[in-house]
Amino acid sequence: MEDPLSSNAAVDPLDELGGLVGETLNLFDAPVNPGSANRSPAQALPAQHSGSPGSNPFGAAPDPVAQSIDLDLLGSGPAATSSLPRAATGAPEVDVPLIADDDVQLGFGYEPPAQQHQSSFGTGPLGNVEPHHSAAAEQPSPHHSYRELEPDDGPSAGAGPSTSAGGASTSAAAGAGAGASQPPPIRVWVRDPERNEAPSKLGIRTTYFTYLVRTESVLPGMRTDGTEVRRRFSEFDALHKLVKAHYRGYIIPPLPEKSFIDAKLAHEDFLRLRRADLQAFLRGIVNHPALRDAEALKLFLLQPGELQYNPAWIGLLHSIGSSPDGNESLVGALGVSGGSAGATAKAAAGFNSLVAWVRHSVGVAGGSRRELDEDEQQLRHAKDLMRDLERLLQLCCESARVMCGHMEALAADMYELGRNMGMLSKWEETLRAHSGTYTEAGYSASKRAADCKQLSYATARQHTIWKSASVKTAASLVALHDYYIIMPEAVAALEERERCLDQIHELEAELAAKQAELGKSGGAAGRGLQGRQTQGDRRAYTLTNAVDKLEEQLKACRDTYGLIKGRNMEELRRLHLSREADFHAMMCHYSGVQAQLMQASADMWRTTARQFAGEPVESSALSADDESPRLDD
Amino acid sequence: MDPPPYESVLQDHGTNNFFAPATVSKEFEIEVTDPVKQGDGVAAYVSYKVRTKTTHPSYAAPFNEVIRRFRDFAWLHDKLVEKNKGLIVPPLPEKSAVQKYQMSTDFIDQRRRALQVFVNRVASHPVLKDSRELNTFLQANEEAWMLEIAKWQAETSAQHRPVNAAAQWLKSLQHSAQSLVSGRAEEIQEDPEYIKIRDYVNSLEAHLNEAHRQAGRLLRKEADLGSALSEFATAAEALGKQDEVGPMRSAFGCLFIRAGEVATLSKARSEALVNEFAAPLKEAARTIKSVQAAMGDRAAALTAYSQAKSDLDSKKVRLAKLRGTPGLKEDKIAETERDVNEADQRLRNAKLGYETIRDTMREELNRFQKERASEMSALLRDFALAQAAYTAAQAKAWGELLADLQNVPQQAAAAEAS
Repeated sequence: MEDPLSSNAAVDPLDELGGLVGETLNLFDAPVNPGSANRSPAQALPAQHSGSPGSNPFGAAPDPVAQSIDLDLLGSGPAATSSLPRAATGAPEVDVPLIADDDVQLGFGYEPPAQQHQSSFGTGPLGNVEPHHSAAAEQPSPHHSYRELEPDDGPSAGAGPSTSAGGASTSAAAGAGAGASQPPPIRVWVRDPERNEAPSKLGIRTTYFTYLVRTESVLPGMRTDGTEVRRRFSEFDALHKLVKAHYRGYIIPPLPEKSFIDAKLAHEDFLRLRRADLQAFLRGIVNHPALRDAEALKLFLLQPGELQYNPAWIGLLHSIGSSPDGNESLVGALGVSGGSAGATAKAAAGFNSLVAWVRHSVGVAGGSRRELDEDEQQLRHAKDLMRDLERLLQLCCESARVMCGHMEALAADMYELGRNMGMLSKWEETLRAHSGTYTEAGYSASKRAADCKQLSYATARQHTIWKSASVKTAASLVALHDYYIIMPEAVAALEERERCLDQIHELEAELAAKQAELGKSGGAAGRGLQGRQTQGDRRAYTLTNAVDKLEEQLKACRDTYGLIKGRNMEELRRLHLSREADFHAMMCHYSGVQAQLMQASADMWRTTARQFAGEPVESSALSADDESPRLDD
Repeated sequence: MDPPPYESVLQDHGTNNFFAPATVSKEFEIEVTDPVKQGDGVAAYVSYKVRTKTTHPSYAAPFNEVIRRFRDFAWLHDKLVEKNKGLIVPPLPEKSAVQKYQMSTDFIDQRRRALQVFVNRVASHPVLKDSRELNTFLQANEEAWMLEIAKWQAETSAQHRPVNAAAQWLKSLQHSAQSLVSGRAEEIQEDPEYIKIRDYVNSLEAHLNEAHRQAGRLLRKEADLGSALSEFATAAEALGKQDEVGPMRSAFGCLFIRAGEVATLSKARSEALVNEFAAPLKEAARTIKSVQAAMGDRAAALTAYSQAKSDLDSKKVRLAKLRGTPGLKEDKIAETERDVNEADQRLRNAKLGYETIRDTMREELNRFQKERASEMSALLRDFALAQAAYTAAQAKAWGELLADLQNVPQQAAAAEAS
């Protein structure tokens, strides 16, 4: 069976049924929104765009934007950023536009359910009346949303949706939640994957894709109203490495995995997914209070041309290039303080980190035998918590995915039932044609035909509702996934600190050994013969020198540790707060979406039931409103 | 008289709606209740209480209660089919050997409902309701009933009667081959109107079966969704518990509770709908089988009719030949004449038989179609209403969750500010 969401076919499956149901569905839409009676969402949406600024609480502020939530929950493709088995769904990631003020709304005062009821049948997922939800309206074809809506959202305005940017963006979300209505100071988009070819180092022509990165910013030092550059994946990768190196201890937003096979195949779904992931990554960085000051980011976003030829970029890369991963910051610190000691320190650091790693991995971490101070213990506990959280989030994501899958299956079945009923109706119609309208048989046949048709319309509508339900539900729960993928990063950031601590312990041990030796040799020197005294002096001198160096290193290391610890604490606090805010917003959004969808279904079925009872079809949403209180009792 | 709408026929006897005013005008109100498993092993069966409330003049008492088992319903069905050629006798639920031995409560309850629908349909049929068989079925006491059943079993075993469609078809094939051989292809034609309906009915069955299958799948999916939701809620609750007591934990707790409600709701609902939507669709498909059986009877009668006709024709030809042959014995001619007369008599009987069936069916089919129209309408409306009620309840639950969550953000904001 064709997966309705994955079909990029030009024909919306509903249109197929629409052939059967066409006129009535149009009838059904028309009174609701005369402005966009057309059912095509791609065409209907611009209308909403033009409509939304007027109804948005921030007036002309460029805040409310149809923002694409990158639907990782539904996403597929082996290029998934994590072990979340999205590939199993087979459904591609879908860009669901959500208006930014939707989030704000969710933050501090979601529309009470009483008012929700006003959003009757017509104005639900099919209708476009409600300002908050209108942009989240029907997206039956992901293709459309990607191709046609995406370019639309840039110029009209911009926004960083708290949900899509993941944990790192959460300060923005928290700000929005607290009622700060200023737009985020910097916004980025990633779009338009483009195929490129270039000879590789080996002379073989390789294909790669570049993505258009657009930046709008009011940040001091980075002010721009729309710089666009093309970047390829390896450049994103380098940015990630640079930020990670310069900001040890911060939780760096995760980058999608490098995938060789899929990139070569350049599957459309893959590209869409990767584009979304890259965007989420960039947004994570620019929305982070500390990371967005990175020099590398500035270069990445604003420097035209290919970065691999940019001297500043090369310089940045070089500064981290020769040292092993994870110790760059330390090296930098030593480089500043130590000067000539740099080279040895580098080697020592590399070796020490190796030792620390070995110890850590065999479970005899040097640190664990030592007294850990309270902060450290707390942070280690936090790491365990993060691991637990990751597991729980994975569970949550998995079950959410299953749930959305079920919704989709339900949509498909509704559609099938609708088609079946349509066929049944057609059969009865044939009979009516045979027996003539005015015979008894013909009359009853036409009655049956009408009933079956009625149900087939109803199921077709329900099909749409369910389909949008699966998409919207996934969109509303996307925060789960965002936090899920951030957890390993959080753990990594915490481990960064532990590694640093291990290093300190190493240095301390070494220092103690050297000092002991020095003390011994000093004692020996006092007792010893004249001839050996110079030798002893020389040794003592070397040892003192080494001790000094070690002390210097140790001091630098301790500084680094303190820095990282501070960052860790800060990040954990931030993560916790933003998690609280984001999850709450997510829950509000989720239950809101559910309530809205269910209300829409209820209204739809109610109308259908009344039509079965033979009542004429009132064409206005008003009648549905009259109805709802009665049936809600 | 309008047939009872589904909701009244299928009403669970537990709710009081069975004797609701809407159906009070009926002559019969029959309940099949209290399934009791009798015996063990292979010989085990389930007996039901058949409770009748009637205003029909031929019934001695307005209330009656008998114990019947599936076999007894089958007796009623077969007798009615046998005695009322051309009528659409309501179908029995399928015999399922496998399920029967499992004797699951679900299966028994579904069968009980189906039997109740069956007997109510018979009792609301304009012709069948006056039948002696129904009377016997509803009233006969233990001994009389056993006698009837014994008689029937003896009959059926004596004339094992596989008068199914395939045999009918074979017979007609044989006949047409015969008439082809004898060079006489002039059949007595069915009226075209009827042929259309016949074709229509044949394809209708496939559609209805398909619809039933779809509906069943749909309902299963809805139940699946419910359980998926509760799983999600469980996972979310676990996630919430990760945190120390705080707004997030309580938020996820709320979700867990509400989602649990919704899941229970959807489970109960899909179970109810299996009975209220899928089962009637199934029954509709079964009814088509009954229609086909009636059509088979009609085809058989027609075959008999045309056979008798060709028989008579050939006899007449032979008589003419004999007459044309000079010097033949008078008694031979007389014998052939007698044959012709007999054949003529047979033809007239066959014709009468066929025409009775045809006339009966004309009305019957009209009735059937009309009945189906109103039933379909009621069925679909009920489905829509059930969906509406369910989704409204869900919407309410989610709305309440939203309201619950409203209470948390201030705390969250406060925590954030600090």
